[in-house]
Amino acid sequence: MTGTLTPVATEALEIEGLAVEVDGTRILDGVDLRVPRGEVHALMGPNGSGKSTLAYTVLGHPKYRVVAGDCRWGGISLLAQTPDERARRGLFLSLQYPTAIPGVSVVNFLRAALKAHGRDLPARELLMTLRRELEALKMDSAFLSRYINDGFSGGEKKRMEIVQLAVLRPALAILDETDSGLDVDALRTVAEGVNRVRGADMGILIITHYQRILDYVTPDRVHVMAAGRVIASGGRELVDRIEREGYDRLLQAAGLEPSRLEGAGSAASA
Amino acid sequence: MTTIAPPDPRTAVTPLRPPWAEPDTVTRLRAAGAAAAGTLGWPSSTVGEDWRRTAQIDRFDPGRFRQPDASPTGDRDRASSGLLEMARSAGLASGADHVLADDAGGHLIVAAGWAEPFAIAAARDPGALDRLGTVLAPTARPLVAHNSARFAAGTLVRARAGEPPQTIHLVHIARAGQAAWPRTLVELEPGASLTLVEEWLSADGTGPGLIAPVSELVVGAGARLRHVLVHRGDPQLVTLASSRAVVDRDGAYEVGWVLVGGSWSKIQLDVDLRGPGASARLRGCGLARGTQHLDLQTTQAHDAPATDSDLLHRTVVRDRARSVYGGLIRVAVGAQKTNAYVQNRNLLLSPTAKADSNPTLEILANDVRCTHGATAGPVDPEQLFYCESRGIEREAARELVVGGFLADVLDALPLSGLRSAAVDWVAATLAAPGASRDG
Ligand SMILES: Nc1ncnc2c1ncn2[C@@H]1O[C@H](COP(=O)(O)OP(=O)(O)O)[C@@H](O)[C@H]1O
Ligand SMILES: [Mg+2]
Repeated sequence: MTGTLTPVATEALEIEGLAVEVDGTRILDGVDLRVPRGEVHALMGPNGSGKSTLAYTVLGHPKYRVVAGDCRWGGISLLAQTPDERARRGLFLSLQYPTAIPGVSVVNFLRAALKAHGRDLPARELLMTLRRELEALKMDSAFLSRYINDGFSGGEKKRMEIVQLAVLRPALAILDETDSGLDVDALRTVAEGVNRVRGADMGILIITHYQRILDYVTPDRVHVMAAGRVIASGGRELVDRIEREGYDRLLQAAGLEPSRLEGAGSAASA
Repeated sequence: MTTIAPPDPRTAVTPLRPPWAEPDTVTRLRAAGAAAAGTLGWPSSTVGEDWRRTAQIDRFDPGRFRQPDASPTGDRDRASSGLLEMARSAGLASGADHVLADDAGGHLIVAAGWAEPFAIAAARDPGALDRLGTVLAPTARPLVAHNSARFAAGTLVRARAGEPPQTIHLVHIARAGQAAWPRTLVELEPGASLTLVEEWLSADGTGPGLIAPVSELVVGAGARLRHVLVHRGDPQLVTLASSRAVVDRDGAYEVGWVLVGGSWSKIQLDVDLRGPGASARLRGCGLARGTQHLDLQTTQAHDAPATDSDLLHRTVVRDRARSVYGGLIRVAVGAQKTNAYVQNRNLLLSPTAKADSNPTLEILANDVRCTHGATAGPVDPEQLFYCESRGIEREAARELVVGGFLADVLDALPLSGLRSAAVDWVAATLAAPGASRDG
């Protein structure tokens, strides 16, 4: 099943009052966020504030239990849908720590993914497409026959996520710290990859806690998360403000205790 | 009142007299087998380690089954052409191969190379079978003792250096109600190279049967034997198999196995590296579903210095099935500079599936590198989620991950036809309906 991918003016990821538990612990505590198709939003926040939890929840990872609120795409709730249904409706997640699957080559993995999206490409066309996208991310085509993410360096894994983004062309992509752990050149390559797919038919939520990637991929809006909620939203200037002041002032303004949060955050960011 | 118990067919074995004129050496081997069956006794799950987790052997009575007739020559009757078809459809035989013997004695030989039934080999040269019983002596194990006394037919395979590469396919068959004890002797002269595929089959699925083959493999200096064991027998076939290769100086033995059939099986697979520089690579997989029980026991014996062996056994266990693995690395005194590795990994597809793994090291030399490892667990949910997050449905995701789990052992199989057939057998086994597969 492939959901309708026709751009609709109102098509957006809409998160309302979302509360999420993991193993009985409340992690998200009423998140509100709206990312329309065609816009690039940045989601920032200290370690442990719940950014990855939000990303996983949107894709339907079974570990995360939604206890309140809703999460919709194109006006239809995602909550009753399996992760693969959500992906086929056009959602994509670039994982903070991409999973290795030994024995499954990059080609076979992406063939299966494309087939699931109703794009069962002939072998030649598939290889040409994959080679082109690898090249764009400055990756050798030898990666095609390697097992996906198995033995890849951190940077190679991140670039492979963007290769997949480019191949699958989702309607909404969440990039969870795709920029962290990259050197300057790799960061530029990844950012160029994102800019190449960016357009009117794709919404992008970039999760990061550095402003670096946002120097290359200019966001339309910026949100800040802390303690499982979005505590501030604004334009590009919010990034500069965080760069200057850190998160403390924003946290204080939201009535949160900075030191406690930072402590919890650093403990949580394995 | 006294009653005289009938002789127990598990220990009182009468040597078979085949309808072909066998040389004295073979007659003596049968007598030694019958004697050893008496002195060794029937295997028991409570004596020693070998059968500890396969208690089915305690209740098993080979006397329930008839011996197949030993047909001295190859009648290409309807049955055998049907079997040839089976072998062809499995990618095991190409059109150019020819059938040398039929299944009457529990054998089908499909050869693009030099192979002949024992009856013909012995008639040609009374010394042709002299090495029988030298790789696996009748006293080695109870089941080898039984086979030595009872085998009705066998196949001799030979390869010399300088010959074009040979591929031999042997299909060992048990029909319903039969006990087949096929015997195989393979001799690679120094420098020779050969691919041997042995398949265990039941010809019809109408009732229980027993197949208890013994294969003795001699790999000469610098020779290379690629060996594959395929088990696709029906769910009523019991398999009790023994195979041992002895490898001389700089020889190479590569064995693969794909075990997807049968009811319960015990497979004892040994390699003995006897010459310096000899090596063995052992790679295979077992799939068990329903109430299947698959017990693989391997021995990597390093009897010479500078020998290498490397074993991977992967299993995928579904439903209420069970996998048992015992792997021994034995390094003899003086076998220095030896590298040996044994690894068993088991994927459990349901909470009621079970895997027992017991790799052990017995090392009597000091300058060696030996490692072992074993794991068992369900499919990694993070791997499933990763696939699903790319749109792949749960069942397809599971298939992809399980296929990946088996990839390195399936990729190591010789013959591309066999590799793709094996992928199909695996997929069919995984897709077959069964009990709960969550996990
Ligand atoms: N299994 C778990 N049980 C309890 N708390 C968890 C579990 N997994 C994550 N957390 C907590 O959830 C919080 C948010 O984590 P995460 O979403 O990874 O934050 P971020 O991506 O913003 O760094 C952290 O405090 C973390 O310790
Ligand atoms: Mg995170």
